[in-house]
Amino acid sequence: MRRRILLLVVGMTTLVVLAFAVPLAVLTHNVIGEQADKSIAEQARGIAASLRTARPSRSQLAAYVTRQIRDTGHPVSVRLPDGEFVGSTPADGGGNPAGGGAPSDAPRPPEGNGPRPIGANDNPPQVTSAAGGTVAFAIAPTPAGFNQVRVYLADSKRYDGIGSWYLLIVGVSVGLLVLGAGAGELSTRRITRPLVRTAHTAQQLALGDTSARAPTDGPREVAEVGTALNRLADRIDELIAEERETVADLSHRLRTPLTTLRLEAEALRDPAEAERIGTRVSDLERMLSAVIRAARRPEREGRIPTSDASAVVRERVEFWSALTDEQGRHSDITVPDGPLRVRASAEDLAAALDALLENVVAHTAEGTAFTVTLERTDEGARLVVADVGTGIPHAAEVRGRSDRGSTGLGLDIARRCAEGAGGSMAIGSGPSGGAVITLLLHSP
Amino acid sequence: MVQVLLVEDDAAIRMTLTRALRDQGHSVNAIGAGLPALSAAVEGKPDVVLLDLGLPDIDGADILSMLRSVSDIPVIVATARDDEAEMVRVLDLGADDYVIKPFTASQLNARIRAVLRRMGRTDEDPVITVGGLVIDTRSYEVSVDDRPVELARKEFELLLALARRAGEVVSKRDLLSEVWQLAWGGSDRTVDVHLSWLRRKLGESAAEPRYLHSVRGVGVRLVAPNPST
Repeated sequence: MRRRILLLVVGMTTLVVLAFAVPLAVLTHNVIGEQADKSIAEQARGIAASLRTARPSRSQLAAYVTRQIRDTGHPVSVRLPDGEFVGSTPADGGGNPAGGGAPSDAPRPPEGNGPRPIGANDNPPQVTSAAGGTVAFAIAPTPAGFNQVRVYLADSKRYDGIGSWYLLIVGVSVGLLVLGAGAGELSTRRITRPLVRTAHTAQQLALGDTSARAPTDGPREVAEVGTALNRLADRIDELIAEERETVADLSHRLRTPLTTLRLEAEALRDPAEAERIGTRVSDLERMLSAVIRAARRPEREGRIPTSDASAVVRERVEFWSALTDEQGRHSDITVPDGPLRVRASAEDLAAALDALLENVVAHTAEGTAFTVTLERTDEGARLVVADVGTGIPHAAEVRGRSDRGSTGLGLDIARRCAEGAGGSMAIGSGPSGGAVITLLLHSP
Repeated sequence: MVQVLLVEDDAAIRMTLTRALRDQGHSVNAIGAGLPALSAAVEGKPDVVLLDLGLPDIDGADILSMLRSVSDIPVIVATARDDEAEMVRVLDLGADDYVIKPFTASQLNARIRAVLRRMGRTDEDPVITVGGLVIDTRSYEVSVDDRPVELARKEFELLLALARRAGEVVSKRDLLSEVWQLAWGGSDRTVDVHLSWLRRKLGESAAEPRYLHSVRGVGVRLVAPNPST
C-alpha cells in the first residue's frame, strides 16, 4: 500500500510539474527569440541613426561597423547609396528585405510624397527571416542617398543562453518532484506505521497472545481499526474466561458424585477391592483437579505464568535435603546468583523438580550421589537433574513417559512443565550410566 | 457418641455418609434441606454440624450465618472448590473447618475429632505425651525434653497422627490418607521427606532413631525412647 501511495504522489507531482514546466519552457523559448530580434532591430536602428546624423566618412564607417561586429558578434553590413557594402557580407545577399533577393531589388529612395521607405528615420527597423537566420533591416537617408543597414542574426545564435533557463526549469521541476516524493514518503509512513503495528497485534492475537493490544494513535481511520481490534481482543478474553469458568464449574459439580463413589468404595467390605476401586477414584479425582487447575490457571497466574527458577530450585532442593542427607546422598547443587525468570508458574516448576528428585530417591540406592544444575541459557534456563544410579530403562527412555514404573506421573509432570514453558525435556544417561534429565525452559 | 447433624442435598452422599459415620460410631441425623436443618441444629443441639453449601431451598452460607447468630455449634463445611479464596470465604462465614470434595469418611472423622478437640468438647486429653515428647493439640505446640520444636503444619499433623497411635506401626498409606487427604495414590516419598524433617527437628536420625522408627515395608512407629539409649 505504501508503494502505491508513493507512486500516486510522485505521479501526481510529475503531472503538475509538467503542466507548468512545458508551457514555461515554450514561453521562455519565444521570449528569448523575441528579445534577440528586438536587440538586432535596436542595433540596426542605432547604426542607421548614427549614419544619418554623423555622416561618417567611408573609413570611419568601416571602423564603426567593425566595432559593432566585434562588440555584438552579429554580422553587420551597410550598403552605401552607391551600391557598395561596408562590413560583413550580408547573409541574405544584401537585397531588399521586401524583395528578399538581389541588391538590385533594394528599396528605392523616397520620392515625392510617396510613402517613406521602411526603416527610414524613426520608423522601426524591419525584422525578417533570412537564410539560416534573421535580418534586421533599417534605412538611413543621407543627402547622398539611402544607406541600407543590415544586422544579421544566425539561428544558431538566436537562442544563446536558453540552455541555462531550461536547466533552471528542469532543476526546479526535479526539486519539486523530490520534495513531493519526500512529503509522500513521510505521510505514507505516518499512515502505515500504526497500520503495521495493528497488523502485528492481529498476528499476535492469532498466535494466542490475547494480551496483545493495537495502538490507538495515528490517523483517525487507522486508530479506529486499532480500537475495533482491541475491542475484539477484549471480547475474546471475556469469552475465554467465561468458557474456562464454565469448565471449572462443571468439573466442580463432578466432585459431588465423585464423593459418593469414594464413600462407597471406602465402605466395600473386601479391603483389597476397596483399595483397587479407591485408587481408580483417586486417579479420576486427580484428573478432575488437573482440569479445574488448568481452567483456573490464567485467573491464578495471569496469562503467561512466570517464576524465578533460582528461588524455586533452591527451595525444593532444601525441602528434599532432609531426606537425601538422611540417606547419605552426596549432592552437588548449582544455582546461578540472582533471579532467573522462566515461563512456568512456581507451583508447576516445583512439582516438576519434586517429580525428578522423587525419581532419584525412589529409584536409586541410598547413598547414591546426585546433582541439580540450573544454568542460564540464551532462551531461558536449563535444569539438569542427574544421578549416578543405574539409569532409566531404554523402553521408558524411548517413550519418555514412564518414571521407571512408579505412579506413572513423575516424568510426565516434568515434561508438561518444560513444554508449557516453551521448552522440552530430554532423558539421557551420564558417563556412569546414571539418569540425566534435562529440562529446557524459556524465559517469559 | 458424637451427635452429627448432616446437611446434604445429594441423596446418595447423604445415605453413604450416614452409614459410614455410623460405622465410625457416631449418631447421625441427616437432613436434605436448609430450613429444616436450621431448626434441627437449634432444637436438637448436635455436637457438630456437617454442612454442604449447595442446598436446594436456601444458600448454605446463609444457613451458616443464621446459625452463628444463635449458636456456637461447631460447623464443618463440605465444599467442592479447593481454591484459597473459597477456603477463606468459608472460614470467614464462621465455619470451624472445611473438607474438600471428594472426601472419605475417615478424613471427615478426623476433622470432626479435631474440631471437637479444639472446642474442648471431647474426652481426649488435649495434651499428648510420649516420653519427653509433648504435643499440645490446642495451641499446636510441641516440645522435646522441654525444648520447644518449631514444626510446619504438615509436620505437626504427621507427628500428631503418629502420636495418637503411639507404639503402633502406622502405614504410609494411612498417613497419606489422614494427613494429606490422599486416601489412595500420592507418593510414599511425600511421607518420607516430612519424616526426615521431623527427625531433624526432633534431633534424631534414621540411623539413630529415638522416637520415630521406620519399619521397612510396613510403616512408621512413634515410641518413647528407651532411657538407656
